[in-house]
Amino acid sequence: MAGLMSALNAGKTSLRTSQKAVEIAGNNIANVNTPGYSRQKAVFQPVPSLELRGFFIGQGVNINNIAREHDVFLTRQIHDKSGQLGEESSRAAPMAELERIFSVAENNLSTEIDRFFDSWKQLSANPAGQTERQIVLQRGDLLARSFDDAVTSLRSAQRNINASIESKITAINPVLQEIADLNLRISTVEISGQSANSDRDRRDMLIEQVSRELGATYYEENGKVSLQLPGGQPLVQDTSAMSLEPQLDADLNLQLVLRTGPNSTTELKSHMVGGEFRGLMSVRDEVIPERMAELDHLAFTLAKEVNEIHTDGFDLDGAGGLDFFQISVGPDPENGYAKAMAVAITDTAKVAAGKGNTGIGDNRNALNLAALADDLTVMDGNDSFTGYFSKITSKVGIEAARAQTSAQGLEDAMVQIRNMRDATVGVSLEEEMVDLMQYQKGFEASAKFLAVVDELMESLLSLKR
Amino acid sequence: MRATLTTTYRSLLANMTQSNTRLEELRLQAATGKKVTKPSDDPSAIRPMLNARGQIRASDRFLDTMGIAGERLDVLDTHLERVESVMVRAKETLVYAGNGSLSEADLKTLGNQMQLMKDELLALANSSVDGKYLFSGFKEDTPPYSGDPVAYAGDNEAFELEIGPGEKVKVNLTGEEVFGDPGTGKDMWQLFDNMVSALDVGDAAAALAEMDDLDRAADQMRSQRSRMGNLAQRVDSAKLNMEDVRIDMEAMLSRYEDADLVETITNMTMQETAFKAALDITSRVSRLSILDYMR
Repeated sequence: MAGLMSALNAGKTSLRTSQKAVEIAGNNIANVNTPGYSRQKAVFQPVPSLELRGFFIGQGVNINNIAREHDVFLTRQIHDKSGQLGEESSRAAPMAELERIFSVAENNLSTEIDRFFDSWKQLSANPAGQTERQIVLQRGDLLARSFDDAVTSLRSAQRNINASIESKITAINPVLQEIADLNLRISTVEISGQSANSDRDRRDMLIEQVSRELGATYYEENGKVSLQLPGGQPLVQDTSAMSLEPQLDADLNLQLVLRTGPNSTTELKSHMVGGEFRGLMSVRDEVIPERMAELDHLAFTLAKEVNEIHTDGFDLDGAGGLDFFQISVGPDPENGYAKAMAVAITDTAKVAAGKGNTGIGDNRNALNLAALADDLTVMDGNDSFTGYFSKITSKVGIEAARAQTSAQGLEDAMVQIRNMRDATVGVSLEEEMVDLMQYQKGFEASAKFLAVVDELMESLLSLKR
Repeated sequence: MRATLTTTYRSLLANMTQSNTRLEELRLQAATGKKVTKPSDDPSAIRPMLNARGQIRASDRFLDTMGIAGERLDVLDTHLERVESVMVRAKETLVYAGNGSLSEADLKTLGNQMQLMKDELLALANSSVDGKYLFSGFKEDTPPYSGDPVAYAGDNEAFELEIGPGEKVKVNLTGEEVFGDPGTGKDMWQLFDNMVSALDVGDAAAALAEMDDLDRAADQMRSQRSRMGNLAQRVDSAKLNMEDVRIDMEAMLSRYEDADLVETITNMTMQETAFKAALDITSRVSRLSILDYMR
């Protein structure tokens, strides 16, 4: 009877483990579409044998662990790549705005430059003409306004970036906190020998998010992960999380500050972070200021060259030419000039079309001014005004195209790596169905086994009647 | 590699997204007719494109300026033609005065005619178009000739128009060039004054002595007129040339900027086929499942 009792017990364990295995397969099927879910698998282990009248006979089966399929290498690759992808794809929106500002359409800044010098050509054909003189002043004014518009649009692009950085800061802090909380839970669960499967899945997902946004790197120790920025500053340490805070600088640009303690903060420059933050900050702090400086250089040089020739000429009344564009004197008059550019004269008679103070038919200075348009040496001795502008526009185009291509490439790579990861740890419905059938059969067989043991016991009991 | 539901759908989605994005780009190209609508479409095309547009605008301006140059040269020619006809009449009058059979009264009458011719020349020399005096150089607002004796109040500046890159043509004649001293020691007005006063006193020989100088003055005027005529021809041929340049620039701009519609539509059709295939495959995936084979 003792042997039968132990067989009954073994049958019970078999029934129970088969049922558990069916539940695990069911849970896998339930999570087939859960992002970041890693397939779980029952680990069966025979119950240690007992000696029974000289024989060691097993005592049934147990599920000793629910293992989580995991591939550290691929998970890390996903985290690394998502940082790069975040950096490149976050540039897409601001670069598209830059492409609009430096447009290749008919009405761009280069057209205004052309038109300004064209108005001098027109004036040269009729140097005394009031209309022609008026057009020169208007074209100068429109040119100055176009520069102003471009700078204003660039500033607004920077403001949009600030707004999106601010909303990202708000979103990222709870994520860091949750990772710290998960560190605590996972280490507590796992110290007792259990596996914190879904917590680990969740934490991997959150790390991926932090990687994408901040390009964080990490290492794991005793079930806890520590996250750092590319610059080495800590984001999550042990079970505590730092927080990011926005801070306005003198230029009203939003700067990132990392709070590492109640009274200590570190300012984060764009090179200290990665991911989307870096992408956005580098457009705001590098790409846009560079283009602005180039616009300043272009506007200032144009104004200076025009003034030089204009003051060399004589106006309709035979007086020496004044400055055509306003240029303030200062230690760095070029800085901010694209925004400040303005025509200095309002009186059409003051347009200096003549080269000598001889007569109203003198068009030689107008011709000289018109010739500036085709001068290939005016910009730093090696380019024309519109040539320089096309250089700026090309830079914007190259930068935008590079970001697009590399974001697309990374996107493709990401699909590949995610597929590789899911090939290892993802749920395959076919596989789960087969498992399900297998466990079902196991369950049915155990039940049959119990019925047989039951019959045996019945026979045994009937002996005594 | 193990294929799971997620990997299959992820790949399909990625393919469909890419296919659709490409299709969208081609549709935009076909709809706008442009293959470059933003700098990133082709950064290397920006410079030639902006350059070509600038050159087209410049060509338009040059053509416009050539129109003005042509008009000015025409006006000058018309005036010089009239000057020439007066000079011819003056010479005929002088020849007639020298035939030896005229009385003093006749010569006086010729003197009067000669005076009228001088007045006519003076009026021509002082003629203005659109309020601007033709023969004053840069001093367009000043009548070139006035006073007694007649003195030149204009200057000798050349009014040049730019009709091509760096190519300037002179489109005016100053009073000095037409009516000034041709090397005879006197200008047109002095010459006529001499003839008038000689005829006035009946001194036919003295009047006739001016014949050579009259010829030289007329030659000077004619040579200036033919110079302007040559310039007008040069402007005309430059105009044809500039029109060609403009067409070349339009072609160049189009080459960089415009989409080849046939090519675009062909590509679009191909892309549509690819997209349809992607859609078809996606719909097939769900049709095959182990679930259908289990009881």
